[in-house]
Amino acid sequence: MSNIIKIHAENLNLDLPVYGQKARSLRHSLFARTLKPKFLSPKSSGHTGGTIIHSPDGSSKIRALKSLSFDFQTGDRIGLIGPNGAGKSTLLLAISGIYEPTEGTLDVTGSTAGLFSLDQGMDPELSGRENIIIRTRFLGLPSKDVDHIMNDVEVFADLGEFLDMPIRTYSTGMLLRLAFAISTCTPSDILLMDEIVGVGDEGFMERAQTRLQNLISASGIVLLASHSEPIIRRWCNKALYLEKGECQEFGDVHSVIEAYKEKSRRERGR
Amino acid sequence: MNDTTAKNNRFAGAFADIVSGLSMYPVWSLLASQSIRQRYRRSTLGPLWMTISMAVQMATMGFLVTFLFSHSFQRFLPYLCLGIIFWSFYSTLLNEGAGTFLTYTTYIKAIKRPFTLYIAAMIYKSVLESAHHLVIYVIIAAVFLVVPGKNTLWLLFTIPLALLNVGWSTLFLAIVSTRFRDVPMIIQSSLTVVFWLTPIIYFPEQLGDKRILVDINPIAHMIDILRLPILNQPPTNLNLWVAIGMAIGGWYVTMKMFSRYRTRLTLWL
Repeated sequence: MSNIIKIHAENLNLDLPVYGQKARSLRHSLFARTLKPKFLSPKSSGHTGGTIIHSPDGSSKIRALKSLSFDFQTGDRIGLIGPNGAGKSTLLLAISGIYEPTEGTLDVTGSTAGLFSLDQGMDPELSGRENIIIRTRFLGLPSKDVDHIMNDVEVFADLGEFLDMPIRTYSTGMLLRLAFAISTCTPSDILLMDEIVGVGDEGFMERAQTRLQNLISASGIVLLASHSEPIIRRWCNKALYLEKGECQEFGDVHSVIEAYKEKSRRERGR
Repeated sequence: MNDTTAKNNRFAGAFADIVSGLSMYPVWSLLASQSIRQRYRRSTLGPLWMTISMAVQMATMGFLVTFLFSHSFQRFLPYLCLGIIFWSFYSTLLNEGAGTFLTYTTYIKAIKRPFTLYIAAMIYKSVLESAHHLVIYVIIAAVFLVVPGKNTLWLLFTIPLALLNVGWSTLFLAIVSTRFRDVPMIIQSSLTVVFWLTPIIYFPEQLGDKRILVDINPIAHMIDILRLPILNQPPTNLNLWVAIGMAIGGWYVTMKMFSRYRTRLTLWL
């Protein structure tokens, strides 16, 4: 890959809208305009979750990412760390283009591949095999590659006859095998992974690590969100510590992890 | 960046979505055929069920209505058959099309692809279903010797016109329904009323001076632009102007809305 691969963000903000039952109804929205909505003042919500903004028109939104600025280049393996709801997954979705920034810039140069959650990107009613075919079409792979990928996934996921069963019959571990195999079947410039390594039995984990190792070395930039310290230390050379959607620390993986642990200790001490 | 350039960018984004979405034929054709196959997976007859259930519905209605209104079989049955087929095409698309983005949430949230892709899949699925239904018409036409003529050539113009109209209406309703979850229910209950105001089991002439009731019904015109040419009659000027007007006005409004809300659609899911 001779092309330049980079991710550039400047003052990136991302708001997620929150709708209650009533805001979801057209009937209610059309006829209830005259009612005075309750105005809630912003409250601090501990150190988990983004900042919740209540606007006077009754709708609320979560500021999931707040004035983020960074530059990632080829060779960066970045671990995303932070408490639950810090914005780690949202950042991965934003880089993949699924969520678009509310404000600020986010320029991603290079192709992205992501594994965000086990139940996304697959139809539970379809068999594993059919899901693989649909995924290869989505990726725009030529049909001559499909057989090759099918074999690869079949061998790697090792699901036997289950590959021809609807995936709603799979156990979580089997689903992980398939999802992991599918999303790692083709290399891409930027690899985004959310909390996935760590499920599955030992035999599988061993093979998964080899595959992950190969994939990571083939990708230009890797972003890995995880709560597992050993995983981050093992796979990443840099880390980004997020809290409430804001960048707390960014830099060498070991020093950022220490800063995060120090901060959590202080929070607990209080 | 000033307001106009931001607006232009948003329009360009929406336009690019439509162009690249339509060009992904391998994806949307697979999604469409997969969802048909899936529905009939555990049945021996497979998708032929669609044809059979539609044929049974038509036979029942055909005999009952011919008897009730003392129509002539030869004139009424082909007319009824096409009416039901195209009604089912449009009403399915309005009903299911509204839920397009909700149906395909799993893909939308996993991989960044144009939204038009899913709209195209939904429309293509309805086209395939209608193709299965049209088999019945071919049989009826053969029995009653209804042959196509030079007016059938109107289809070359009216089929694209019909697709243009289902294109914007599916996209429009899909966007609105993603934000407001009660819209599919509203559509569903409205359609049961509209069915009776659509000339399917009766001829519009039978309404006499109440004909205005069907003339103000856009679906009636949308059915006529396809049904009349197949029966070797030209579509009326009113049919054509309503269909053309809807295509222009509908796309204008839909593009405005799609430009404005495209980037927010995923957040609403």
